[in-house]
Amino acid sequence: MEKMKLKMLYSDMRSDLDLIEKELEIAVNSSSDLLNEASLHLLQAGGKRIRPVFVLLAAKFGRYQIDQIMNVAVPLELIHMASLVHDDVIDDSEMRRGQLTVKAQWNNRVAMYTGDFIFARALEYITNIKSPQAHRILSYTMVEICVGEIIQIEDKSKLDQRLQDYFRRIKRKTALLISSSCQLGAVVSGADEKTVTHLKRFGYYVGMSFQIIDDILDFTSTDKELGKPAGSDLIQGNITLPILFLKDSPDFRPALEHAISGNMTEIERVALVKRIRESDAIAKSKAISNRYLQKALIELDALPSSPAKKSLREIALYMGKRKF
Amino acid sequence: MNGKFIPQTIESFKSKILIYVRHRTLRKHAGEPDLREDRLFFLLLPLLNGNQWDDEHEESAISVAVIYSALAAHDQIKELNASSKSQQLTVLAGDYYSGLYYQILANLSNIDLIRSLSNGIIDISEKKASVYDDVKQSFEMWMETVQTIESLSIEQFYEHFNFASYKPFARRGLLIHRIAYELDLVKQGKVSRFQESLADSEHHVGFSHTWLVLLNRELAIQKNKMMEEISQSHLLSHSVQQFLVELYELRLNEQVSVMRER
Repeated sequence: MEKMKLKMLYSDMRSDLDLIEKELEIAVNSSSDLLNEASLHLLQAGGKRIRPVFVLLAAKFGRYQIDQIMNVAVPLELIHMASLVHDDVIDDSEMRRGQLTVKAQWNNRVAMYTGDFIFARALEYITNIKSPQAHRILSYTMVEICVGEIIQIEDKSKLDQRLQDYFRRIKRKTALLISSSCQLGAVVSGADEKTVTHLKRFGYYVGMSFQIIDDILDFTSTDKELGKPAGSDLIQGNITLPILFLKDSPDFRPALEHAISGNMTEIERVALVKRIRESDAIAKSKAISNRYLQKALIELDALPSSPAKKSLREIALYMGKRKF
Repeated sequence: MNGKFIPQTIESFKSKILIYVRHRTLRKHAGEPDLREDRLFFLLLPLLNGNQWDDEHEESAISVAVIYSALAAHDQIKELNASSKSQQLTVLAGDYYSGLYYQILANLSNIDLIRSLSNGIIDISEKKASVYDDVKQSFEMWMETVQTIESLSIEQFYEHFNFASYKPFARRGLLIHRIAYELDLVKQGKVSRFQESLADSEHHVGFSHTWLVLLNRELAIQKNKMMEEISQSHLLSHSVQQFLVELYELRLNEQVSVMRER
């Protein structure tokens, strides 16, 4: 159902997205059978392709040329893919999107080389773009994403943190790459400065909303929908928004401390996820996600009416309401 | 030029790189980035040998050194069970350095060098993966694989700035370092994945001698060639020649020694 909705939202861009999909397959082609297999394994596991979609739609506010804009859309998805392979090593994850991760199917070192390979392919690809500004935007984004991940590890299992810490973390972890996707699409297609700024901000707010929803879904989705056990983030010590709303409650504190201690049994996990799901923390988190979504829509209001604007609006709304 | 010039220049270069890459948490948990002296020497070779060297050369050389730090960090990740905090942050150290190398060159607007170096990282990653890919090839091919892994990015840097005449020295020097490292592991009774691949290839392809004999012989051959090239070279200054001789403990007519098989 969710996939159907997404397909409908992408329908206007179908032919260009198919081109990008083919190009992604070409991009991960390697002279190493192992890297080829590992990269294809990852690519074929699918994904929402949100970043390329935002690049394409943002580019429609300038001179849209698919041959040119593909050189931005493909590397942004590749960078996202490369970071997932390495994240699975960091999180020791066995499953992603219902499939074995590269590190589980082969080993951590193969995952390292696969990520390095895909990341290098992304950079090779984006050098087809000759705008120094575009490279400065993307390189800044990549460094900041890493800084965000480092902070995430520093903040792991710390229940005493503020909402601000969480927002700063998810800004770097997710919102920046989505914001840069919009910004780069607009910059490379030669959109005017004001439009670039609105699209950049739109991407940022959508990215924040998207990550909050992702963090909610970690509790509200089933294991099957997630492709991994519900509550995995918490068990790994990642303190997300719903937990920040519950951490000071005497009813929850001991259970949360127990969860992040790493000694939780399967029965305890299921019970805690159920309690969190039924708590008001989910609604509170959704309200914040919605606030970001509203801010995103305000940025869009400043842009001229067009089919691209309509699509951005619909995709943003979908992302704010998605079920998994 | 006094005898301390080269080590001091390398040391000051290292300090500059550390300013770029230093990160409190990474330093604490993942350790200092790998900035090996011989690699830094080869990156600075044109400067040390008297070629014109400006800020763009310097910054670009820093970006290449950062690439090696990134790749070396990922070589430290254990094949199984990398879930400790230090391993997690070592993964991120590699990614962070990769982002930094791109950022340094993006700030220089040197898109051609970004392309060339990323192309090289693709090659290096493919060659590194080959030890996990059941690749069976001749001993000579394995040596080429190692050479690519060890020196390709430096060669690309030379190529980009018209310093290509230094390539043979870097290729040979860094190969000598790697062979010596592998032989050192053998002495310590440790087995690397690369050695397992050599043994596998020896079994399936059939080498002229055991891989260990060939590796020892290769070290002596490469050292002899390096010595010959240095002594015949009109390119390298005396102080650079002297530094290389000391760095790789080169002697005239190095004996082709054969280590006993394990």
